[in-house]
Amino acid sequence: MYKYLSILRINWIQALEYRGNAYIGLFAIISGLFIEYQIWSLIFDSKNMATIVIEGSTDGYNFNQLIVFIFLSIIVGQLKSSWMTSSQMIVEIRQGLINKYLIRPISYFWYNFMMFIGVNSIYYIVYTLLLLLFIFIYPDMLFQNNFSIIGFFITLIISIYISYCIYFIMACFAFWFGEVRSIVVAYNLGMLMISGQYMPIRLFPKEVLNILQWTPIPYLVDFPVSIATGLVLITNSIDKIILSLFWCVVLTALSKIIYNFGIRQYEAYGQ
Amino acid sequence: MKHMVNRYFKVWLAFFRNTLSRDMEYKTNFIFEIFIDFIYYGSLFFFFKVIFQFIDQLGDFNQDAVIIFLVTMYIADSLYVFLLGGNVFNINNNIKSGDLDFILLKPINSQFFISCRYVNTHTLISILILSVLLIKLTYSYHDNSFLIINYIFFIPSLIFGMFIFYSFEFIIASLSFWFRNFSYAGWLAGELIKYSRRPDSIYKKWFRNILFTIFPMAMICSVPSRILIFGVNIKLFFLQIFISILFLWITTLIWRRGLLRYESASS
Amino acid sequence: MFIQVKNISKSFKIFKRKAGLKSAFKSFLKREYHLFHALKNINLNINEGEIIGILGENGAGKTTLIKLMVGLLHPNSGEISINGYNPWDRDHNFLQNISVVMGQKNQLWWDIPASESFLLNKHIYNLDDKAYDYTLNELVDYLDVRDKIDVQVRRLSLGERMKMEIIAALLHRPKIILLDEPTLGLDVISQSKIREFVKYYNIKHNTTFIITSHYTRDIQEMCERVFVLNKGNPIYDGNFNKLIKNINPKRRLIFEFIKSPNQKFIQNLSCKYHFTINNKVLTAILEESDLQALLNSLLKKYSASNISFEDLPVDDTMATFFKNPNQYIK
Repeated sequence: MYKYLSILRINWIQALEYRGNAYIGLFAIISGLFIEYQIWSLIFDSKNMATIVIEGSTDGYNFNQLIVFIFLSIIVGQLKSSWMTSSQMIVEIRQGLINKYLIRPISYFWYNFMMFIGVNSIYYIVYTLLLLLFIFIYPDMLFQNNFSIIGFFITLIISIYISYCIYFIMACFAFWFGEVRSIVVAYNLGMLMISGQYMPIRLFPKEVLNILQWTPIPYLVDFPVSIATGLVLITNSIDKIILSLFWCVVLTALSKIIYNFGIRQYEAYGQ
Repeated sequence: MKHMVNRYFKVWLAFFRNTLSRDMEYKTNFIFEIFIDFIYYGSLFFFFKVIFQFIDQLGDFNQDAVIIFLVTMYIADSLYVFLLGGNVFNINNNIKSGDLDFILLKPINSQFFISCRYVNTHTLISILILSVLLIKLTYSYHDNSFLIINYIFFIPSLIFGMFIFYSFEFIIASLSFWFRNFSYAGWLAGELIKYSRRPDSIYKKWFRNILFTIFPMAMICSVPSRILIFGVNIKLFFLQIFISILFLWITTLIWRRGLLRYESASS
Repeated sequence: MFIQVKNISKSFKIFKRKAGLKSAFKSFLKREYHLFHALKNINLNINEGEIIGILGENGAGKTTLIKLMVGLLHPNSGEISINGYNPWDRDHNFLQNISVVMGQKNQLWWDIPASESFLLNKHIYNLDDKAYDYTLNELVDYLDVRDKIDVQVRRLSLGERMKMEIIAALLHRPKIILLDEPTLGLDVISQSKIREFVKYYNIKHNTTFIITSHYTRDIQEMCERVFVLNKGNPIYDGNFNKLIKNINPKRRLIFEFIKSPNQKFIQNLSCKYHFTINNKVLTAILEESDLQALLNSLLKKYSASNISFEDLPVDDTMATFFKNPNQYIK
C-alpha cells in the first residue's frame, strides 16, 4: 500500500512544478464560462425566455441556474480529463520502458492510476478553492439538498475513475498500433462536447440522449453536476449510482483483460 | 528582393517535400490526423445544432450563415495548421532540446525557419474538401449565384486572418523564453483562440469592439466569413490588413527579445 | 588574427531546491538561485587553417566556449571577433562561413534519407548546383557513404550518422568548423575515420577546425595545439605533446628474457628501480632516464628476445593531470 502512496507523493511534488497549468486551468474555466454566458444571454434575451426546457426538470431552468450548471460542468469536465498520463503510458509501451514495472511487484493499472491522481492533484486543490469561493459568494445556488455534497463527492470520484479506465484502455492499444496518441486526442476533443463539459447533455436532442444512456458518458460530467445543482436527488438516484458502479466494474475488467492480452503480445515480440 | 523571395520559397518547398516524404512513411497517422480534424469540426457543428434548437438567429447570423462561418473557420484553421500551426508550439521543445541552436546558426531568418519547418501535409485534404463545401454553401446562400467579388476579397482576408492567428500563438509560444516550463502554452493559446471560433455576433457590443481591435480574434474567421455572407466591407478589410501587419511586426520584436534572453541564459 | 577571444567571462543562474514536499511548496512561492561561473577570463587567438583542440573534463566550460564563439551565447564580459565579425550579431555573411557539428545532437531529419536534408541545406546556404554537386560528391566519396545517402537516417548506424552530419555541415564550404564531441559513442574504426578526415580536409581546404573533446585520443590525433580548461579557467595553451611530456615523462619498458634471470640479480635491481616480473617478462613504468639506466643494467648481464618501449595511454595521463593540474603547469 505504501508504495502506491509514495508514487502519489512524488507526483504531487512534480505537479507543483507545473503550477502554471493550474493558472491556465482557472483561466480556461472563467474564459469558457464567459463565452457560454454570452451565447446564452443572447438566446434568453432575443427569445425573451424566462426558463429553458431541460431534461429532468419540470419547471425548466432559468438563466442563472443554467449558467451555474455550465460552470460546474466545465470544472468537473476538466477534473476528469488527462493529457499527460495517457501520453506517458503510450510512450512507455512503445519504447519498451514498461519493463521496469514488469519486473517489480507492482500493478501497472494502479501505478498509473496513482500517477493520474497525482498529476491532477494540483487541479483538485485549486478548483476546490474556486468552488468554495463560489459557494461563499453565492450560497444558494449549489448543494441545497440533503446529502448533495457527499453525493457530489462520490459521483465525482466515480467519474474520475471511469474516465481513467477509458484512458487506460485506449492507451493499451499502443501494444498493437503505433499512433494511438491520435485516438486519445480525438477522444479528448470529442468528449469536450459529448460529455457535457460545455453544453449540458440534457439539452441535446432526445435521440442523442437516448443513445448516451447506454454508455458511461452521462456519469462523467452530467451526473455529478446534476446532484450538486439539485436537478437530481441523490436519495432518488441509488439505481443510477449502482449503474455507475457497474460501469466501474465493467471497465476495470475490460482494462485488465486488454492489458493482459497486450502484455502477452509485448512479451512475445519484444517491443 | 525578388531573389530573396525566390530563395525562401525554395527553402519552403524543401520543407514541404521533406515533411511529405516523412508523412508518407506513416500512412495510418496521416489518416488519423484527418479523422481528428473532422471529429473536432463535427463537435463544433453539433454544438451549434443544439443551440439552434432554441433560437433561429445569432445576432445577424442565421443558421445558414453560422454554417458558412463554421466552414470558413475550419478552412482558416486547416490553412494555419498546414503552414505554421505544427511548429509554433514546438518552440518550447526546440529550446529545451537545443534544436534552436542549429536553427540560429543557419544564414536564414530564424523566425521563418522555426515557424515553417514542418508542413502539416494532411490538412491539404481537409482544405480541399472544405473549400468545395464552402463554395456550395455560399452558392445556395446567395440564391444560387456566384458573387465573384466576394471570393476575390475572401482569399486575402483568410490569409491575413491566418497571420493574426499565427501572431497570437507565436507570441504566447515565445513566452517560453521567459518561462522555462511553459508546456501549457498551447492550452492557453487554445483558450484564447476560442473567441475566434464563435460568430462575433454572439458577443455583447463592448466586447465585440475589443474583438475587432486590440484582441483581434474576430479578425481571424469573422471578417472573411462576413465577406462571403454579407459582402465586402472595405473599412473592415483594411482594418484587418493593418492589424495583421501590426501583429506580425510585434512577433518579430518579441522573437528578437526572446533570442537575446536565450543567449544570456542558455547553458 | 582570424579568431580573437578577449577576456571572455560567462556565468549562469542555477536554480536550486532541496528534496521533499515542504521545499516543493516553498519553491511554489519563491525560487532560489546561485551563480555558476562557467568561464573566467578566457583569452584565445586562432589563426586561419589551424586545428585546435579544446580539452577539459565535463563541466569545464568547453561547450560554453564554443557557443560563445558561434554567437549562441552572450558573454558577461569580453569580446570575440571572428574574421572581423561579432558572432552574436549573427550576420548572415558570418553564418554562411561557419559550421557546427554537435556529437550528441542531430540536425538531420530522422525519418527521411540524408540526401533530402542535404538538399535543404543547399537552399538554405544558397549554393549553386555545380558547387553543390561537386562538394557533395567529394565528401560522400571520401567518407565512403555513397550507398547510404538514400537510406533513412534512423536506419543508419551511429558512425554513418555522424558522417552524414559532417557532410551536411561541410556542403557550404565553411571557413571555420566547430566539432563538439565528434567521436562520442562511435566505434574505434569510425573514430579513426573521422580523425583522418579532419586532417585531410584541413590540409586540402585550409579550413580552421576547433574541436572539443574529453577523449584525449581525439586531440592527440587531430590537433597540434590544445587549449585546456579546468573548471572554467584556462590553464594551458600550446603544443599537446609538450603538455603530455610535462605531465608524465614516464614510459613503459617491456623486456623479455631469453633465459630466466637470477633471483639475486632481480632482487638487487628491485632496490633501485620499480618493476614487475612475470615468467620471463619484465615490465617497468619509469621516467625516461631511469628507464635507460635500467635497460643498460639488464643488457650488461642478459640478452633479450624482445625489447619494447611504449608511451602510456594519453587518457590515463590526462586523468592524472586533471586531478591536480597546478602541479604540472608552471
